Amino acid sequence: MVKVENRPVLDSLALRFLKVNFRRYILAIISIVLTTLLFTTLFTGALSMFLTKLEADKKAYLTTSHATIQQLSQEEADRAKNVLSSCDFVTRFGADQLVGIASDSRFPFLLEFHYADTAAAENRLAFPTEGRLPEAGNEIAVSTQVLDALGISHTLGNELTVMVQHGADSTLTEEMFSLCGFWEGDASDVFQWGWVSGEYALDTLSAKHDFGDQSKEDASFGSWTFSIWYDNVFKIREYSQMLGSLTGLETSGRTGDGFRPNPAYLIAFDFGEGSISLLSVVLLALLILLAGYLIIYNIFNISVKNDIRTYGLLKNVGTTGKQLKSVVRRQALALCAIGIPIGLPYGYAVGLALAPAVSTTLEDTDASFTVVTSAHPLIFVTAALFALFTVYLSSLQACRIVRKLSPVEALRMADADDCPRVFGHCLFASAWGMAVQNIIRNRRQGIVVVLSVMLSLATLYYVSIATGNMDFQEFAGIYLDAGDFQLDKLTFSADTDYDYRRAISPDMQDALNSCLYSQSTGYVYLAEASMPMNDHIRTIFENITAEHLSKWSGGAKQTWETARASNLLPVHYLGITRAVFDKLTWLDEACSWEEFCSGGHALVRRPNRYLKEGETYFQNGESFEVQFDDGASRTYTMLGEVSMPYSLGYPYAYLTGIEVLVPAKEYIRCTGDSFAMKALIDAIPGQEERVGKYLDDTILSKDSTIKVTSVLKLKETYDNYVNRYYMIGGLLSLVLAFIGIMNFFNTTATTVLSRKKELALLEATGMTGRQLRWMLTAEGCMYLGCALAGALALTFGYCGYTFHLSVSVLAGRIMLPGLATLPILLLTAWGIPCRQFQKMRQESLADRLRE
Amino acid sequence: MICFLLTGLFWYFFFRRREKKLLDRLQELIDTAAAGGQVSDDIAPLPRTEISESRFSLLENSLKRYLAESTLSATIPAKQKETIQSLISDIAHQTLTPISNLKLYSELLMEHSGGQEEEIFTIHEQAEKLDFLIRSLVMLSRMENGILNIHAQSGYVKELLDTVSREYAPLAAAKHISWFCTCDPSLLALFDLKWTAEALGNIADNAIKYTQEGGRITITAEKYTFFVRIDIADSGMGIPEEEQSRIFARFYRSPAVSDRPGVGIGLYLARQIVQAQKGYIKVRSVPDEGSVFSVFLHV
Amino acid sequence: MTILETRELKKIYGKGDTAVHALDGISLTVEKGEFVAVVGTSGSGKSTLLHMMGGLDVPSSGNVTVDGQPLEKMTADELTIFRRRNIGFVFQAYNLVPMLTVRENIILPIRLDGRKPQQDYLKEIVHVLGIDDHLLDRLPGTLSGGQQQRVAIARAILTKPAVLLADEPTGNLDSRTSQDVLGLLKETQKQFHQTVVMITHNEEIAQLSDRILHLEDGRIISGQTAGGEHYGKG
Repeated sequence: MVKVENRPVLDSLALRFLKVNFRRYILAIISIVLTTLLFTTLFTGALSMFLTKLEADKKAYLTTSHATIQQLSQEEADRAKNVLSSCDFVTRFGADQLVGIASDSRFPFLLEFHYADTAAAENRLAFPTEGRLPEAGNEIAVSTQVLDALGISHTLGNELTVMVQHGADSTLTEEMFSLCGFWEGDASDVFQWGWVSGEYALDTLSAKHDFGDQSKEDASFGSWTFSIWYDNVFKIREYSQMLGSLTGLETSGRTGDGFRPNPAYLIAFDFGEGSISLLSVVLLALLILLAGYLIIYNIFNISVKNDIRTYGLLKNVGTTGKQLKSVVRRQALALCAIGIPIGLPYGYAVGLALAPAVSTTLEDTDASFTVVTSAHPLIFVTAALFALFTVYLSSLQACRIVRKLSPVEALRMADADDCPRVFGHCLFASAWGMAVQNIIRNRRQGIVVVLSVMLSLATLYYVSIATGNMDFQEFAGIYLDAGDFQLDKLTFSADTDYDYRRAISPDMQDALNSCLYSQSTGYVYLAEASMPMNDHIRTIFENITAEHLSKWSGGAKQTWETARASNLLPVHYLGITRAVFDKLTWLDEACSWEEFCSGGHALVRRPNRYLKEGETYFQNGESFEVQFDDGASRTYTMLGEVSMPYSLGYPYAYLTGIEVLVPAKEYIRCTGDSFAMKALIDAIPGQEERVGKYLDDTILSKDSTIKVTSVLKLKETYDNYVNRYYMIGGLLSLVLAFIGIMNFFNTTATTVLSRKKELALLEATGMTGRQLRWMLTAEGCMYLGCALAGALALTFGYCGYTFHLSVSVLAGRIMLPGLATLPILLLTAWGIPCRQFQKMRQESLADRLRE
Repeated sequence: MICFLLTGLFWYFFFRRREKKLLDRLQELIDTAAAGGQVSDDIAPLPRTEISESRFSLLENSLKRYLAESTLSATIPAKQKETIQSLISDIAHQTLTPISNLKLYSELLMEHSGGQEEEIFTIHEQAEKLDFLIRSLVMLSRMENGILNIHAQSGYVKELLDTVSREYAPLAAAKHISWFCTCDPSLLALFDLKWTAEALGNIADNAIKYTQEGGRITITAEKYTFFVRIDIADSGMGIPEEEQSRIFARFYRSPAVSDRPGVGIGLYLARQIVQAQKGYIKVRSVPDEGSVFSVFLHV
Repeated sequence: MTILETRELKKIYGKGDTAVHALDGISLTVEKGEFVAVVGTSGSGKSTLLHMMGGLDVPSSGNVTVDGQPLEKMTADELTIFRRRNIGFVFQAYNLVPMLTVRENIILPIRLDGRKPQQDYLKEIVHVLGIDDHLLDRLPGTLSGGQQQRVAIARAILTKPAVLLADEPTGNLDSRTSQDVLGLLKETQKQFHQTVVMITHNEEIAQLSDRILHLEDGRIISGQTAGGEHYGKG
């Protein structure tokens, strides 16, 4: 049915109402701006967090594509290529071929030579920003990191000479390349790529390698890797499976499971139970919604109640409830039209500013990660929609009031000007009594104010409790579970393990030992050895492997096969010094360092989680033999089982083997190698910074491949993190506090104004201004007191429940912010009502009575 | 393509249906309005079919308001007429007694006159005329207000004509006018004897008045299928054609006879009486030859 | 033609012994074009009666029919729409919308129906009511009481309502202004053939009307004439 065209008149009515209430609506606009700002900030931050994590994960998994398949033979690669180029859900794919691995002690990273197309290079985040990908001959594109390591200037056309290994046979050839492209590398990247030309790949592979023997370990040389992008990131898993069945490569590839989705995406889009961040985004959005709702709701209610007479008149003249409702709604929309566009850019700016803070997690101790931000329109659309929704919710009650407004009621309001309501018996009782009465009268608005202020307080308290709950020791323990400083080396070459174990040279050890500020310095040495298995050991490992072997990688499998065949179990032969010995944890009775050093004694580390309860490799006192690579062997008596701090041990999983600990002297004597794997320093309490400085000066300045894990750095990271937490929490509670105080201001202003006549009457009956002020302040105190009590109850209840903390601990943590907020609350409770009262008093008593 | 076509078709029928529905409603609205517009004052207007924000409801409301307004404007002149009539009626009633007295005292004066017979006679004559006029007016107003009851009954026309003859034949004879009245005694018609006689009498009186001495008046009755026609023919001066339609109007007097006595109410009254019995009167006349007044009464 | 009719109208506030009968069975009819005055002391229920007639309030029992439309059958919104199209109100407190200009106030009911006011008619009304052109763009708050009430009358009759209900239209005015406003009310009533029901406590003012009803304690105590007989004075 065609409706009558009454939109224009409703528009103009809404506009007039806006004009009349403009001053009050400025508050509403500010609230809408704040709400929008908070939503935009939240979504910008959340998206940034998400993207940053995704990018960091992509980097960690060394692939930016949606899925990859590695180690395909030439024949498989051809098949894959055919299918991929015909699949319509594959938007893009790249291929690269492993040609060789650099073997050069100058590299603190692993450099692989690949022949790759553009997409593949981009997949590895290694596309030349200067120059181009190689096209012919011995051209090469590498990162600046490689150039720096080789000491070559960043100029195209420069010559590079590198030792390259082209097969598993460990034969190295010296190759010369000419630089055709490079890009800015990242110092933390332990994997580096050298892109070579197809011509070079073809030449080298056909010449040096007899391809086709799949069982050989070096099958990866000459193998292909495909990186694939799909048209829908949410279907990565399905598409990958589909590709598997389409190509028939379900069981091919490095891991034998076909096309592997990029785990970064899988993690990112896993919104399951474990994803705390999505939940916290939802909770924060709800919090913002609630805060915005409380103030906007209050403003709308107040202005509608103020104008109720006019709404009533309109109803008498023939404006229907629906039309009045839409007049209110139009006002809300108009306010949104002003507020939201202001809030969006500011929110985005704040979001950008906070992005680094929110994107950092405690685990990201490396400075290497980059914060990814996005200005996706969806952020703004969502934020605007949320803000609109908030305003819509807030205006519901006001709409209901005007909709239900009865015309006669409005008439009565028009005829009889608000007569003062009758006071109860306690007219002269006390300011408090009257304040209580007033609060009961305005309970609805009161609840809103209390909730609003409570929200801010509760947030503040929660933040202080939650940050108090964070523990540096616990955090540091993840990276540094022993000592204040640890030193080891990050070196990659063809023989990775070897260099890792030989990190700290005797010279360095001397330097470290002579540091004045350290309390103790310890070292861990590690060498590969083996031992003949007796029946007991053999049974243990048979059992373990029978159960778990299928899940382990090829390397572990092979090691076990070899061990079983030769009956020689691999052994990690660890030498430790006194300082390390002191960090050991004994599983049964401890023994002394002297006893340990008395010769022929060894400890066994018990890290193997596959061991059954109560099961041990050796009984105390039992003897076992360790055979070294050079054929020598030694027999040790088992002294006890220990567990060693994780960070001091071998950093990779050691599944099939036993770790044996002997004193450092014994180690050096038996192996003849005095290079230590790790160094451990305990600083004299308070001297940590000096130790750090000493390490910088004496060690790092000489060898940059040494990696120092320092309590100082961790402390800094931790402090940063905690501060950011404080900052975000503080900011949030500040904004909420602002909203809360605005709400209080607004409510107080209107209640004082609406009681103008009543207050004047009281004044006329003999109440002094002082008493009246006291009464109003009492009211304010009660509101804020309720809010305080509510906030305390809420935080105590919630935090007590989630953190399992006792009341006294909670009280201790709340003490500081609580005491800090108290004067603000009191000032608010006193200042705002008094200001309003003062303003009202500018009119003469007679004037106020007449009104 | 087909989908597109189907959507198009759907919308076409959708809009067609809507348009048809709307037009139907509008037609219905106008029809009821037309029916409601003709009924008289006393019937309350029909309620609106819909009160909403729709344009249709607004249109309906406007139409109702318009109809109500126009009904009101139509009733206003009628009411005014009514008021005037009641005024006349009042005047007539109120003047009756003074005129009667006037007549009475002028007669008394005439009996004991002292030389001024001429003047007294004139006064008396004028009083009589006034009396006649007022009585006619009273009668008229009563009739027009429906206060006078005319009850038409089946009766013999002969009886009616005899009644008229009894009164007017002597008057005609006094003026040496020959009077002929012929009627089939079995002829029946619907009439109120007293009032119809009055009507016919007025016509006859007129005829006598405007026929010269030695003239002739003939009254005849004839039966038609639905009517009985009574002709009163005279051999008088006749009525010019342009006046024929006006002679039945109230207070109309032909300029040709303005010198003669009379108030111009007789023919009007006659027509009113006949019309009240659902009959009618017409006149045929040739100047200087005579006139024929035909009164048609229902059988 | 009967334009407004109430039948056995009752309004009871409260319950049981404390119940107050504001209206106690009022039946009356108002003919089209009539000017009826309802006179009563304050508390006689006359305002309540007017509110019932205008559909502002709902009777406890009985019914009201305006222009052939029984009000009790309508929903709140229907009633409002009906009111803006068919009933004009003039209140003691003028009840102009404070933030709309005089012109906007006058044409508001028309605009709420999405119509444009007929300029000629508007001009005529404004002229008859003596509202100066320069007042049209001012806000009601800046006008005198008499001016405001004239604006209210203009607003009430611009829609050509079936009936105009006036509640003590001169209650807030001094006697001189009252005479002006009443005269204009009477004049517009005649000129635009408006049906008017006016409520007043003042007998003198009531004499302006064609018919006076006296209301006391919620009942009509005199002046009640049966519908339609009004014209048959003879």
